[in-house]
Amino acid sequence: MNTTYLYLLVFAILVGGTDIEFNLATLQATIPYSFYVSILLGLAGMKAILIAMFYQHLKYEPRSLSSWVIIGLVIASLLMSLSFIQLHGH
Amino acid sequence: MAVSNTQVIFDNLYGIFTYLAIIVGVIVFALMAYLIIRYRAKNSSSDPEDTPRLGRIPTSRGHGRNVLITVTLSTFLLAILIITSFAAVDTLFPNNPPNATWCYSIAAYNQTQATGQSCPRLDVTGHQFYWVFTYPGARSYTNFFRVPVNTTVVLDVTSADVFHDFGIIQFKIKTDAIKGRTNTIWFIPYKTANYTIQCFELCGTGHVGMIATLNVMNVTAFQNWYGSEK
Amino acid sequence: MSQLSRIGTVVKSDPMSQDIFPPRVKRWLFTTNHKEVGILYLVTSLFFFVAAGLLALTMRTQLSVPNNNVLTETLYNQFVTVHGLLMIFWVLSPFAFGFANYILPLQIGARDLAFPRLNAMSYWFYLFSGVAIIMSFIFGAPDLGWTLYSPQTAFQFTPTIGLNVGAAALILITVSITMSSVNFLVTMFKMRAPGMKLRNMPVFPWAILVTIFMMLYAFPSFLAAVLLLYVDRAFGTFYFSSIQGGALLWDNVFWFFGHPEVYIVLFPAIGVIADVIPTFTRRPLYGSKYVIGSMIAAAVISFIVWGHHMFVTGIGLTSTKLYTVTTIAVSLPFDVMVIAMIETLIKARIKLKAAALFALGAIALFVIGGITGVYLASVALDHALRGTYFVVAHFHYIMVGASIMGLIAGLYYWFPKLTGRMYNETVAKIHFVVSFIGFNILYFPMFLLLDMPRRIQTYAPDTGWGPLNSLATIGGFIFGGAQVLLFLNLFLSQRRGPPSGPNPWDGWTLEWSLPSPVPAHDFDTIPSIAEDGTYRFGNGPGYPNGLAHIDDSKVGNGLAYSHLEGMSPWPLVMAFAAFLFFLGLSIGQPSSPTPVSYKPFWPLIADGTILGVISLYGYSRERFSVHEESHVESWPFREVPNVKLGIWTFLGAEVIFFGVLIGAYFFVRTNSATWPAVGELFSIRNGFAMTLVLLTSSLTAIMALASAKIGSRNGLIAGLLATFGLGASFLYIKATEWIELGTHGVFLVASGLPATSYFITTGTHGVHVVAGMCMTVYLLANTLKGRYTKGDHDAIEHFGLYWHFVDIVWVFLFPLFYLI
Repeated sequence: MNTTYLYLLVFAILVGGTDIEFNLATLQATIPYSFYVSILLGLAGMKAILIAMFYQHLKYEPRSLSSWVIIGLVIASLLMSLSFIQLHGH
Repeated sequence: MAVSNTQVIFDNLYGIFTYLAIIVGVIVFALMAYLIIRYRAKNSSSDPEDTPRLGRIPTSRGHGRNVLITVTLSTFLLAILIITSFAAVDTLFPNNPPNATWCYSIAAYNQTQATGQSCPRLDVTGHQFYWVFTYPGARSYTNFFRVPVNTTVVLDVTSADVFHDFGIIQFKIKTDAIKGRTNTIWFIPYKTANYTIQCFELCGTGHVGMIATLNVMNVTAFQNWYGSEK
Repeated sequence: MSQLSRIGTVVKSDPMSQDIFPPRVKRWLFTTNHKEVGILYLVTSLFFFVAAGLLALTMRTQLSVPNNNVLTETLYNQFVTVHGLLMIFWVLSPFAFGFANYILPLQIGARDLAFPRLNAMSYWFYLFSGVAIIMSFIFGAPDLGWTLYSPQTAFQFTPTIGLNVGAAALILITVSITMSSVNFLVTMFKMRAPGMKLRNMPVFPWAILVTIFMMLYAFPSFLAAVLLLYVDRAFGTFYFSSIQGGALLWDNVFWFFGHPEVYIVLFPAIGVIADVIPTFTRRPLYGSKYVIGSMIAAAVISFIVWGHHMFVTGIGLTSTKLYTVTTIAVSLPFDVMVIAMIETLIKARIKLKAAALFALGAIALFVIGGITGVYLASVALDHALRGTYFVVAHFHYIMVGASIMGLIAGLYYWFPKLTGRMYNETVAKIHFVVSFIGFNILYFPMFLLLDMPRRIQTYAPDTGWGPLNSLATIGGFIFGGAQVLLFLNLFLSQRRGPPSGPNPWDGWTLEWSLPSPVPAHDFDTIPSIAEDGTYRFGNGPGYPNGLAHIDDSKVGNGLAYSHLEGMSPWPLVMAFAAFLFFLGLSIGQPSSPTPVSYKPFWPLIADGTILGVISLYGYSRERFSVHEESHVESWPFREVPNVKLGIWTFLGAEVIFFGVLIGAYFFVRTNSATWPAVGELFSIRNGFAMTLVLLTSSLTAIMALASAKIGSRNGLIAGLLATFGLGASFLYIKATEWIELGTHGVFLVASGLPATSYFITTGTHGVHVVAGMCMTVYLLANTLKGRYTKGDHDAIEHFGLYWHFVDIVWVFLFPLFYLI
């Protein structure tokens, strides 16, 4: 695929995702709160992955670099979740 | 000399740790000293065959087996320490502390008997740079408090300003005093005497003088004091 | 062989760097050579060692007898705090990184670090941060312990601006450390000599590598923590002065950094010891791969033990038990390290030179420090021992006994390499014996003072703590006095000592193949390591057939090297600018009669900013070429250019930084009973608009890169312009939002934590947007001058990596602040 079209397609998905987030906010009262938050964070995560894969072209980088980033993120998020688990203990 | 249940628990656990520490320490240092003396370079001796030399990467040396033995032995020792520590902390700092066994007044005592609740706890509040101890009915004292001997005393500790740490030195217990939070500690004093309470977290100029006294009295003396103060 | 390449050479020299200073001064001020930077690090850290040591001796004097009054309580508290801060941040790590700078590139067969100017900048940030922390005494130094527990850091409890200066110093040194870690990481992954596989690296580089990983995860967390502390004081926000954030928020973010930091200062020393012991015992390190594996294991576990610093904060029985187990478990890998060192001695031929004595002594003291650490890992014992001299004794056995003693072993070991001269062995041995005895007289009595609170200025006679304290003070003066021998010995020897020759200890690592001191360009030809493990220099085999180095003055293809090449003034200027900027931010006046914050001192901030812009301009204009050797060992990043790896690593640190900011937001929010409903405080529409603008700017940024790739100048210019414009629009919407919130009284102090967390988090993000816009201006200027045609678009790509990252951060901030 022509890279320009690819970039535009990614952009369209990003905007679409943002639009969903925006509209979800109006429905907030009708959805269970934790479910609502999970959807929003899930959407944000997907958008972040799209940007990293295509705009930061991690998808096309050598595997060493992409796994470097992924491993780093996994460790970081594990540590973060650990802190949140501890917060719940309070 | 037992002054409180917490001090007894601490001394026992500290004893176990120190006993093992000395055994391990003596073995390690003896081994080190022996090896250093035994294998000191003498003029007559020549370098071992596998001496690392400039010009090549040294041959690798060492058995995974020995590492495994070391780790297994240590894990065994550490497991003892973990288990004994857990037993101690379950008593010292349970999520639900035991009920206070002194109710300060007949009315309070009757009420707790009727409802099955605990006797009232004492409140401890750290200020820059003094401690305030509050009995039921908002009776409060600065930098000293009194409890009857051989009763379960439960303290709710908090702070009015910065981070303090409430420690009864001879009883070997302490807890942080943090604004907005309440940390509970408990103890059973065994011996009538004065005990020193000090702040264990640097809390500003004045921290050094943030000292209070716990006066453990026999029951009659306590009742006389508590009744007469009202 | 034409492998000879000049690293870090300023192709076009800059007028400013000429003729202002005499060459010898200029050499030290503007150098980017890893060896000179290394020596600067060593000398500076030893200076701070003496300063912090003198503070300690004064405190020991004060404590020698009960009711003493040598120091007032305020002064004592200041000394306690600054002594701790100096030793941990300005002595231990920089001391180790002096060796890492000088020795590590030699050991892995690299000519320099990956980014020599960045390395020089790290040093100057370090130096100026040290100047700042010492300067804080002028303004009333921090006096609440190096752990800076909140809420005492809030303005209402500590109104002196010395704490601001101290916090600024911590921000500066964190910046320095982050730059260093990125630099060393790229160097070690990308610039190893051919055949220098990771498994062939000596233990010292491995120790530094593991240290750097911990730094990369730990220091961004610390930076975020100190930044929040700083804005609390500067702008009257209340992350730490509120009950919802307060003490526990600080405890969590601080100790998340704080425990890995203990190993950050310890591991380099272990690396030194593991290098010294094989050389002096004449046997290879026992189980070196297990030692390295243990280091990695300990580093990983170090991130899940921070709760043991919070055993008595009331985090609950389950948490404390969990942390007891992880903390006790962390002793296992250290066990393996110590046993491996001891087993190395078996059937060895031990030469007890000073370096070996210090290394063995450090192991012995580490054993004591480690065993007593297990006491403190037990939550049950910690309830008694927390905040007492038992703790002080324990961590000094680790930090002085293991770290400082280990690093002194390194100092003796590498002194001949650094200076080309031998020190006096007898004096050095006396230094060891006196230090070792003095150390134990100083610190062992503290184990017995397990009832005495630490950080108290004095104590009553009836406590019975007097005799042990007197003993410790005597030990302190013996230990301190012993260091005079070290400094005298080294100072006199570097002038008059007998020449050492290239390899006085008969060591095996690559640095010993070079002359002492090492010539400016290090290796004439980059060495390689053959399959059978032998070194080769050029075509022929290396030592002992021929030294790595041929001629000091003239080598290879006839290029003469001197120290005056590869110099740049900008690292120094930029660090000074940052120093001025933060000093200006720190030394203002309280802004109202009942101070909750203070007004910054704007002239200094302006000076700093202007100087910063000038130096950024100079730095980017200076054509400083760093040659990337093409044939080096760079598993696993063979196909990734150095700069790109550096940027991704830096972005990793940024992730942690923003992660902590967002974590702090979660923390205060989950602890707050009420929080404004969605759309009540912040307009969802605004957030939506800003998200769209920033997403579009990512599209234009990637289109700019695509245009550059196909050589379309117009496309590139349009893309960059659009990116700049969209960034500006983003900031415009943000500004209107801030102003509107301000006019409705929803500003900072007035409206509490929702506003505090919002302004600080999005504000920090906004600063990142501004930085990105500055980059587009720089790129646009270069584009207009004709750069970034086909094949030369790396800069555009690197900018994009950063810009998209900033976009990703906003992708998360939008739902977090506007929608939930």
